[in-house]
Amino acid sequence: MSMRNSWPAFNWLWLVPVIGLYAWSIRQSLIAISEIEESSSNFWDLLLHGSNDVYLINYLMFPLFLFRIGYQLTSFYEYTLLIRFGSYAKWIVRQALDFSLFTVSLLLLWNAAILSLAIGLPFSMEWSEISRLDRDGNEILFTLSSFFSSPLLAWAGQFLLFFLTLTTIHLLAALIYVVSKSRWLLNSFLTLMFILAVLSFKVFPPSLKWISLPNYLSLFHGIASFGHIIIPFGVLCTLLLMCIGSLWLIGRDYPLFRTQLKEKWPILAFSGFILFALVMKAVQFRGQQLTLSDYWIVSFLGTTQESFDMLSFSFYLIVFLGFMYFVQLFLQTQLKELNYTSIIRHRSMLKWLFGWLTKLFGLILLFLALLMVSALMTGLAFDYPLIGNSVLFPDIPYPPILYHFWVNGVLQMVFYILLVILVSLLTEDVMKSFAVLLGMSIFMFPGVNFNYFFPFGLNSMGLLLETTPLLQHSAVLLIYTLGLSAALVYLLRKKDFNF
Amino acid sequence: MVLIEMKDVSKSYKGLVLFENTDLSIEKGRIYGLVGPNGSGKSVLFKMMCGFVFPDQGTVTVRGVQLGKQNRFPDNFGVIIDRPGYLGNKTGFENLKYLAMIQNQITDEQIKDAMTAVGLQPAARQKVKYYSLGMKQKLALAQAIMEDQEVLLLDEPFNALDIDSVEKIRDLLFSLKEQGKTIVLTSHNQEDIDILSDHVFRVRNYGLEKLK
Repeated sequence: MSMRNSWPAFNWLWLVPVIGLYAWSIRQSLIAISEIEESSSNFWDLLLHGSNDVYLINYLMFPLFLFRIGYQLTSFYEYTLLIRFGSYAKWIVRQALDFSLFTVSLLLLWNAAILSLAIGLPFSMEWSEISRLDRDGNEILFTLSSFFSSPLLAWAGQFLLFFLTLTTIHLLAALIYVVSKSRWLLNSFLTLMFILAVLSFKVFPPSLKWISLPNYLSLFHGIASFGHIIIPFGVLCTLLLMCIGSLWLIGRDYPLFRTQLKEKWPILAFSGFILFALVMKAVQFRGQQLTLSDYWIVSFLGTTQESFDMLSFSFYLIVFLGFMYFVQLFLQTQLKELNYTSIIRHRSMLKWLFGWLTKLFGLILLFLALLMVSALMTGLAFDYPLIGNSVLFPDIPYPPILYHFWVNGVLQMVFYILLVILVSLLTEDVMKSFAVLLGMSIFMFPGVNFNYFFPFGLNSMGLLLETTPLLQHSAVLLIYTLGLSAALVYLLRKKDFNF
Repeated sequence: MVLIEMKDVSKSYKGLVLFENTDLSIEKGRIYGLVGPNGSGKSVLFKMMCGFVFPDQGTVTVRGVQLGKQNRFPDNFGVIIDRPGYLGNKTGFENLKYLAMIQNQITDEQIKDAMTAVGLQPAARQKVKYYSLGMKQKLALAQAIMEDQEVLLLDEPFNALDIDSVEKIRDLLFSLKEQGKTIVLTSHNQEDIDILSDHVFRVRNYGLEKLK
C-alpha cells in the first residue's frame, strides 16, 4: 500500500466549493451580527464557527470520514498484505497511521476551504468582539471564548478532538472487522455511528451526554454539555487506550472463549438489552422525584386495562417472553432430544416431567431475583432515594410491591411454562407454543382483559396502581395454573408420546 | 419364555393405518430382526412395545403384565428410537452420566465400560455436538446397554457406522445375546439382519410376515 493512498487525492477537492458555500452562509450571518451589535469580527470567528458547526460535521464531514474508514479497511484487507505485516495488530496499526494522515489532510482541506472565505476579514491572534457576545446564534464563539484564552488554542482543541474521535472510531471499526471478518458487521457499525451522531444531536436528552457523538466531534458541543474542556478528551483518550490495549488480544486463538461466546450470545444479548432498558428508564425518570420503589414499578410497568404504553408493553414482552424463549430451548432438548431414553428410565411421564420442571421453577426464582436486583441496583446507581415522597405515584409501601413481583410473578411464569408445555405436547411442536404465547399478548391491550380474568400480563407492576386487589390476580393465576396442571397430567397419562 | 407379546394390535397414526390385528411374540434371549419400507411403522411398533404409544386396539404384554395407562413403561428396557438423542454441549460421558443418574444404579466405571464397548473414548473432552453421526450412534448404543438392560429395542443401530464399527457392534450384540439379553432391531441393511437375527419379520400389509 503506497503512502499516496493516505492523502486525499484531487477528487476530494470537490469538497472545497461545498464547504465554501456553507462557510459563505456562516460569514453572512457573522457580518449580520457584527452590524447589529456594532462589534468587530476576525477570521477566527469564521474558522471556529465552520469547524465546530454540527450541521456541517454531522451531515457532510463525518459521513465522508465514515465512508473512508469502510472503504480503507475493506480495500486493504488482503491476505497478501496481512502475511507481510505478520499480525493483525500490525495491520491495524498501519491502517490507523494511514488513516491519521488522511484525517489530518482532509481536516486541513476543510479548514482551508473555510479560510478561503475569510479573505477580507481582519487578521488577529485575539478573540474578536463578536466572540464575546452572549446572544442567540453566537453560542459557538461565546462558549469557546469563555473557555480558551486564545482562538488558536480553541482551533487546535477542535482539530485534536475531531482527530482523536475519528482515530478511535477507525480503531474500533478495524477491531470489529478483523475479529468478525464481516463486511456486513463493519458497515452496520459505521451506519450505527452515523445514526448515533444524527440522533444524539437532535433527539437525545442532555442526560445522555456521555453517548452523544456531537460532544466528541465538536469541541463547542462537548464543552457545552460537560461544562469542562477535559472531559471529552478524557473519554476519548480512555477509549483510545482501551482500543490500543485490545490490539494485544487480536489474532490470538481463544477456542474456549469463542465457543462460549457462540453458545451464550443470546443470553448475553438478552441480559444486555434488559440492562440497557433499565438504564434508559432510569435516565427517563431521573429528576422526577421518584423513589426507588417507584422506579422499580416503572421498570416493569407492563400494561393495565386503563393505561397502555407501547414501550412498557414491548419491554414486558421482551423480558418475560424472552425468558420463555430460553425455556423453549430447554423444552426442545427435553422433548426432542432426551425424550425416549430419559422417559424409559423414569418409567413415568409425570416423574420425567417433574424431573425437569423443578429445574425450571428454580430458574424462574433466579430470573426474578436477577430482575429485582438489576432494577434496584440501577435505581441506586442513578440516585433514586430508598424512601421519600413520590410525585408520580401514590405512596406504595414495599410489601405489596414485593408480593406482586414475587408471588404473582412466579405464578404468571409458571402459567406461561405450563401453557407452553401443554401446547407443545398437543401440537408436537415446541415452537408453535411460542406463537400461542405471542398471540395471547393481545390480552394486555386496554379493554381486552375484562376484569383481569385472563391470566396474561398479570404480573405487570402497573397493576399496583389500580384498585383491583392483588390477591384477585393471584387467585386467577392459581386457578388457571391448577387447571393447566390437571390437563397436563391427563395428557401425559393418556396421549401417545410422538416427538 | 415369551417376554413381549402383542395380541390383535391395531394402530393408525394421523389417519394412516399402520397395523391391523397384528400378533407378535418375542422370546427371551433371542435376536429379532424387523424389516420393512420407510414409514411402514417399525418405529411405532417399538414405541408400542415400550409404552410410548398406545395401540388403538389389542394388547401389549411385557413379562406377563399388560402395558396401559396405569402401567405404561416396562422395566429394564434399553432403547434407540427414531434417532440418537443427546445434550449437544456436554461430552459423551456427561450425557451418559445424566441419564444414569435418573435411576442411579451404575457407577462411572460401568458408564466408561459401556463407552469402550461401543468404541468411544470415555475420557474424551469433545462435546457431542462435534461428534460425527457414527459417534452419536455409538453413544446411543452405549446408553441402551450401560445399565445392563434385559431387553434392547434398537431402531437402525448400524446407521452411519463404518465397516470396523459395524463388526464391533455385531460382536457386541452377539455377546449380549449370549448373556441372555433379548434384542429387537431394525436395519435397512439385509446383511445385518441375516447375520444377527434368529427370527426375522417383515412389516407388510398392516401386519408382520415371518421371514425366518
